[in-house]
Amino acid sequence: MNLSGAQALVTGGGRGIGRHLIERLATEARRVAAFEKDEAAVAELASAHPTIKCYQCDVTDPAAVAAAVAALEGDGFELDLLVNNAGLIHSAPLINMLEKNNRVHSAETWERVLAANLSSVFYVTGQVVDHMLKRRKKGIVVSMSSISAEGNVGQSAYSAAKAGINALTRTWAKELSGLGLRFVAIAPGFLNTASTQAALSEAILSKLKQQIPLRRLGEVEHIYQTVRFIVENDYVNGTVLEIDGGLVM
Amino acid sequence: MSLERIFAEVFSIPEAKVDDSLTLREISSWDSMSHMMLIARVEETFAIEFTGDEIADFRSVKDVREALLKRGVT
Repeated sequence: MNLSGAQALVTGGGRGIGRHLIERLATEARRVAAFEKDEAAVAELASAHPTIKCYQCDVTDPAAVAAAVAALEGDGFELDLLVNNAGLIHSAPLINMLEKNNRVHSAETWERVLAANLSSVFYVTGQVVDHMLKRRKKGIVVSMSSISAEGNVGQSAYSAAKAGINALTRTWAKELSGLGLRFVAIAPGFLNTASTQAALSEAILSKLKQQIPLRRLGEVEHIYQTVRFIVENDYVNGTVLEIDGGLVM
Repeated sequence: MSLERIFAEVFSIPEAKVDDSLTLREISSWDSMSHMMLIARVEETFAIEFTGDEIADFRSVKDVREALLKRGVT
């Protein structure tokens, strides 16, 4: 597929990696749209980039997702590319040994993290793929996984959700690729973002860099380059691309 | 390996900064996850086992050292 002719949707497009992806896609794709939960972020993105069509949508709510995809269709979108980017990072151990009571990982947090990172991908992909198949369009679904899918200390829910994304990617590739659809996951390692800098101290970041064979953090542009590669290489399918500088080998 | 060295390695802080007065509040990287790593490292290094209550009560280098002393580790 040629990116210049693509119509793309990015979830969680209002900030962070999603914001970078949508801004870059806006320069290269034919038409782009964003789903974003935060109303202020929707307004800001729409104001900063009038060519990007922004929809306020909580992707953890299946009815809201169906309504937002219907709105996209109403606005004349015929999507070729979906980037499932929305999600949240949460770290908590299964047992908090610093406490004597209420030590077990909260069920509410487990469900919230699963909803944001995994159920959202299921809901949005279902609606968008249905939209693609009704038009018999060839399409690509790129979902943001993580190296945490391999298991990460203190990230029960997040790791499980990202492993779930890898499983869905392979399942959907087997189920739907015969109809012209491709499904690929991207598993970034540690990226040089404001959230990484905020979450990790300088000492820990420095230690971390020593564990990465390339001795540096990734950049969000590396993720965009991977999305573009997936779009343009039509033999990439049903796989998870690790963009981590060699951290997971 | 000394207790000071274990604290320095687990929490990525200079060993010279580790003494009995150092508390959880002063080590930003001491959280529920690094706490587990600390316990595992200390137990493995000194071949001892803390009780569940002791583990939940550790809030300083001194707390850990006193629990080690109770087990004859100096």
